Amino acid sequence: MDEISMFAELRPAPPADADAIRAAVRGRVTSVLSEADPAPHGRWPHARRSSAGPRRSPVRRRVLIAGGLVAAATVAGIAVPAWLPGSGDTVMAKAWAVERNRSGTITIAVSQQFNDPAGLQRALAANGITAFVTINLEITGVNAKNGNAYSYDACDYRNLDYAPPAVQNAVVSEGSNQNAVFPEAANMPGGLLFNSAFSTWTIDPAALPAGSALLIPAWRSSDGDAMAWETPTVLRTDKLPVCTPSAPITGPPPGVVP
Amino acid sequence: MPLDDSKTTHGIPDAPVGRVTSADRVRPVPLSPLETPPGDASLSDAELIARSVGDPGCFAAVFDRHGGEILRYVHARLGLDLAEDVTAETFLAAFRSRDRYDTTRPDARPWLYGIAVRQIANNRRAEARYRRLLASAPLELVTEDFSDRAAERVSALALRPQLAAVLDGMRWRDRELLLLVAWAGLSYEESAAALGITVSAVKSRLNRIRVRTRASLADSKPVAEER
Repeated sequence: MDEISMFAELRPAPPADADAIRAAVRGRVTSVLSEADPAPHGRWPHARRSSAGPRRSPVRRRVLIAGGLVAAATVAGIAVPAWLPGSGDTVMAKAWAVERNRSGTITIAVSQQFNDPAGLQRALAANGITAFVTINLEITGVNAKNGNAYSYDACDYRNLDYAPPAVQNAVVSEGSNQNAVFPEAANMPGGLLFNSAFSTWTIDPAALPAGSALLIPAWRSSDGDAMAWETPTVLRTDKLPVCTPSAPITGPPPGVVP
Repeated sequence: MPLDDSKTTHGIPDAPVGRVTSADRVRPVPLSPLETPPGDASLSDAELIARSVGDPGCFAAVFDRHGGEILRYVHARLGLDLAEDVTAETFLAAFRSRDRYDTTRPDARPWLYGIAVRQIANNRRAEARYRRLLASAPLELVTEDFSDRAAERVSALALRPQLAAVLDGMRWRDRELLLLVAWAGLSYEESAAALGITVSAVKSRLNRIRVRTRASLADSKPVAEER
């Protein structure tokens, strides 16, 4: 079974009123075309807001989602998970966990609110793993000239001294299943939301050669969006790798001749 | 972070290299036709776009050809609240840059998807919130009940929470590529053109996604069976 095909099966259904929405979009687009200057220069037209009435803003929807979870928790008689906006501390406040498994492997769980690289590094070192946990910046913005959104990593790990592919198997598995580390998560309402907030990896310390190190980079978006974790990579050296600053990228969108 | 040696390119290779298999492709679900015909059928997208530089009205035919498809993709990524606005912004951004379209490319879909991806990126917070609800969103019936892929659908449905979590944990650029292939049905070449990367980078990234997904599913299977 091909994994890509499995993701294809998860595509959400089109809206029930797709034809009506398409007609509305067409009306908005063609109204701009009819007023546009033949030469595509000067003031660019922008989409007008829908005339179909006010739509719920993303903020409004976030409140609805949170409210729905609170209601579900109330009905189920389960404590509301404290990670909902505005709530107090919880297991999520720690934002990471390290656990040694019976097999000798180590399971790491990190949340998208993670902000303690030194603490995680110390915990891994105590379990025999030299690790570099880094939080780097992914810069996002909008090109002032053409209005196109862009994003790029603020720095780049160049010429990393990768361990051979067989050694990379020391990272036994990865996923978003943190139940082994935080069993209480399985009983929380909105379990997917909770699950998806975490990245987990299982590492086999015995498979890490002496003098090697694990690079665990995270990329935090400059627009405040959640953090993206990269799969840990085994390096042949235990010297801290340098993340070289990248040149700013604000180029044209693909398919457009500069 | 470019751990591979992917190099930015803005071209679609002439030779059809590394096209996705039929299993990778998503069959587009046709919408009902609009009253206005999608322009002269003998004209390519490139010719329509070139004409629209002097005659802006011609660009409506580009929307008629691809508007439904782009809307469907944007809706799948952002949900109903933003689908209309972001689809409109996508086509207006395309319209604004039509004089810079590479007219050696007859099919405008990769170009439009590339712009749509950037418009979606402008709404990343909303996209992230919608994505995290994916496990409970109504699904499109991509596979017919009696097709060879029915078993895959059953498997995918059984692993839906795990797949959604894997998708959520991916790096942004990997997720964009995966969904262009899996949800939009773009070929490797089309995906490369849409994202401005090489075809070899598309292949290596998809392969990496396959390997990681397999590992994640293997890791989470016991939990799924317990529930």
